[in-house]
Amino acid sequence: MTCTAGGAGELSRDAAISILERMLVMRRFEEKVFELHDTQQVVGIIHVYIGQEGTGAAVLEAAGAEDLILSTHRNHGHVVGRGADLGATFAELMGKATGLLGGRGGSFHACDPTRGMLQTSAIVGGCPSLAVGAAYGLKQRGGGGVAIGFFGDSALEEGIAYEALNIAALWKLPAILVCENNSIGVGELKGDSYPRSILASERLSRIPEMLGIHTVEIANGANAAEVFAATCNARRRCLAGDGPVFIESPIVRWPGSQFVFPKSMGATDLEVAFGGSAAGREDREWTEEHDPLIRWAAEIAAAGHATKEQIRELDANVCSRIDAGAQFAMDSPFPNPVTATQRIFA
Amino acid sequence: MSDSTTQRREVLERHHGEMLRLRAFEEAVAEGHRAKRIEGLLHLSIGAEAVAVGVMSCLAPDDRVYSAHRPHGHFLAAGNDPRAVMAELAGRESGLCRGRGGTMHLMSEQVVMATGIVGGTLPVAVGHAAVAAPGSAVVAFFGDGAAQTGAFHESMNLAALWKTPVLFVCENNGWAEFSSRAEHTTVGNVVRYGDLYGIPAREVDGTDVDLVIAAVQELLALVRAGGGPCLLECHIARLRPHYEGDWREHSADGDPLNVTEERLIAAGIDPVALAARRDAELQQALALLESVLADEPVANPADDPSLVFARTP
Amino acid sequence: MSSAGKLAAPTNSTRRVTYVTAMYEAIRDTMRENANVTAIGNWIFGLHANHLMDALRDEFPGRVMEPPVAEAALVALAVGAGMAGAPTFVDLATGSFSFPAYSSIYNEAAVVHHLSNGQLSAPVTLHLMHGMRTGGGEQHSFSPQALLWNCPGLEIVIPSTPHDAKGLMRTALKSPNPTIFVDHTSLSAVEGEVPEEDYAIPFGVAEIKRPGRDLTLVATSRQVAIALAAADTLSREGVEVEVVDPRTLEPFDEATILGSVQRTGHLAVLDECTLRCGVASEIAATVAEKGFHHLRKPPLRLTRAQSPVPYSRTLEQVLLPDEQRIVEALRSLVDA
Repeated sequence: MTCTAGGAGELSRDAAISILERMLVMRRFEEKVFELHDTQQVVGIIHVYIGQEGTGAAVLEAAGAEDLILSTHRNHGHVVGRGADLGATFAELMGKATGLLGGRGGSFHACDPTRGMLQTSAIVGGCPSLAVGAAYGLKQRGGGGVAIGFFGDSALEEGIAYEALNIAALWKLPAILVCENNSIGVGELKGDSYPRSILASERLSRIPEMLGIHTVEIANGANAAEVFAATCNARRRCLAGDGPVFIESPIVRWPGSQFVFPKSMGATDLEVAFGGSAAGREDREWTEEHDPLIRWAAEIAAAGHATKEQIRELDANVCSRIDAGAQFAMDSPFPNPVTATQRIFA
Repeated sequence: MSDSTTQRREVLERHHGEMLRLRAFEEAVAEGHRAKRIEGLLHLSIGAEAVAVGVMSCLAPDDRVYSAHRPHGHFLAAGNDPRAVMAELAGRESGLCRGRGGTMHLMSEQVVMATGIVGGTLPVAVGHAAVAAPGSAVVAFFGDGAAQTGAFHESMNLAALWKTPVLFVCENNGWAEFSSRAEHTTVGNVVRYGDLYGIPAREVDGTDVDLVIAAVQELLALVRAGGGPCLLECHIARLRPHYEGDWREHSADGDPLNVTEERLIAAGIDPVALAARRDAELQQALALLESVLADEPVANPADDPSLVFARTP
Repeated sequence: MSSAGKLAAPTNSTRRVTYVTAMYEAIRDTMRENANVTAIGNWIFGLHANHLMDALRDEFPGRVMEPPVAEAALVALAVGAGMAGAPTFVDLATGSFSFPAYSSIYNEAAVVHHLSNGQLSAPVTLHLMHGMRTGGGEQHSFSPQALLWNCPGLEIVIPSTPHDAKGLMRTALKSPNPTIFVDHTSLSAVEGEVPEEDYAIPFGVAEIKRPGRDLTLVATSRQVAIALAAADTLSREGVEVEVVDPRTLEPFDEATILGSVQRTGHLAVLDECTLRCGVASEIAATVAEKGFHHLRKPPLRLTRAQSPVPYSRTLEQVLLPDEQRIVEALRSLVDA
């Protein structure tokens, strides 16, 4: 992989490393989830975040602690990237009592309310509408902070998203709407892909633009530096009262997410970032050309923010935290059935 | 005077007569409502006559129309018997829907349905168009308020993607219920949405029936050719409040009857004769109202309950 | 206000105001108390009380929003705002207009507290006017409270008088849960004695609007007044009807109704929802299940017919039992 030092080099060392760490946590978490799913400890339909870390980690690095974060069914990366306890996150996916939501949400609805994450809606279009609402609430309360909503390109097919965008612009709400567009073309895997976003608009971002929202089109959602800068600018804009910002981040979909049920393609080998080969991997081309984690690791090394050895050490550290978290969750009990109908009303 | 000029004047007179008919009907309905003899939440199409007459005059028998909550003019311009429409508004058995539908739920063969839900008929129109015979078109009327609904977005998106033969016609009177357009959206004119969905779009002065016809003909040709939907924004004035009995503001300018009459007068028609025609139409409509109220039996409740569900043939 | 006794006599500080004025006062008092509360709607108090909207807008600039037509997004917006600490009131206008917003109500608002294991809540109040209104037609006449009652996680209040409207609206606005305030167009202009001061009525407390020994008639919303009129008629024949107004469907005061049936031995329920899975069906089933041995006759449901609502007055009129038919039905119920 070739890349210039320009990307990661534009950020401070601390920010760059922090983004790398978030990406590693996101990636290793999902790889562990595959294991747990294969052994039926995580059950049901899962949506993995592999391949989208370049956007999520960058946005979450730029986010403020006082910001409110909302996600969709593809939330694992956002949850752990926001700093949620790994054990509690695994436990949530496994339906354990020690889960972030006591096992009530599972993969579809995972979120960490203690870190400013609000309800994760699994209804397409739900997240942007709730995020606009959270922004409305923040504005009414007047205490600062912005609402950041992560959603996919299909959300804009839903009328409710259109209605919410119109209102966000009309009432100048402090919302950053991050559209992770992972439906953009992927060569020969088109036939096996999920249905793509189906929009008549020539460009997806024309929709928020038409509705009066300041719109940013990221050139490449795998470029964490670009996404980080865009998010920082967006926050400034929102906090200044200038209204919402829509960030469209195009992401080449990871091939393992192409199937109805996601398919593991083996643990990421960070050595690819340092000249190693991805040969033999089913997702070889994607890994070499589009993997945001590989790219960022290479950029950090090239920028001199860290040595390869330091990066490997960070990865090892993340892996052991992941293992510990998974073990915690496996050892945790299931919730007591008598609690099933408790806490319906506050 | 040349033949074509005469012809044009005759056509304009015919359209004017149609518009007068529509206007008179609505004035009579307003009178009936004032006298508390026509019930319900009425939304009159006074001020929209040029659009109704203009659009309907371009349609073929196979074409279909979906209306919204201001439907009377559409139904009349499509050729429905005014007596049946009036009877429907008065809840009579001889009404278009035997008194079951009322003002916002008129139905007929060509103008398929109206609706009380803002944006409600847009997706229905798209579905109908998706299976329409090639060469035919479906007109979907909506107001500018509907352009902010999710239903509008989903309908425009699907129609454009599937290239369904819909002509979306927005009657933009600048008001959605009780607030102005600017209070509902930062988007300016509705015509801009054509750009968003990649479909041909025009805006036109909706008080000028000739301009309306020209625009409709241009866009209908595209629609019929199978190139996909089109959007026409007709600017009209809301000469009456949102619903009859509301005290809020409405406009006094932009009466399509005035626009047409000025043109007829310039073509040599006697203004006194025009005023007389207006009068005559109004008297006729009021007489229709009285006759319907007096003679038409009210809808019969002792009717078979199978009206709720269709019977298997 | 006593829950099991007669109506309290009006105090010196009550005055006669309309139902919508009572609602307005509760909203105003809440917005004064909590600067984070906002209201969203173009005609919250119906079509004929614009002075109340003006008053609210004037007193709370920037906190009364006039929205575009976008029910689904507005309810979701309220949920998001609520989770972010800003309780929000949204007017859905007509009950039939709640349908575009159902995903936001069922999939978002109702599940917030349970899904988050008690960590989040959605302090949202939705206002709608249910029921038939003479010429409303198929799309302006629905009574959705039965559908909403079927959904766990929603509080539902359905006041029948201005006094109850003010007190229940106050509690609804203060509630951390999503609450549906079920109003009726025919109630807007109804007048009643309402205290001037700020007060709240707790949820889950039914009220016996009229005591009686012979028959328990549970009635809701607009039907309460009709129930009282029918009770007066029957009283002249020596039949004393006890009219019970649940006031809130969720939480639901079973005890008052069961206690009443224990005394009277007869139950009729008068409610404007359609028959199938309606409010009357749920109440009748509850009493049949838990108070079976007190019933001398099967429960009687008096509801709207299972039909869409046609426009013409003569057709619309037959969908709901009128006072005469109610009296006849109740008379048959108590006849030996």
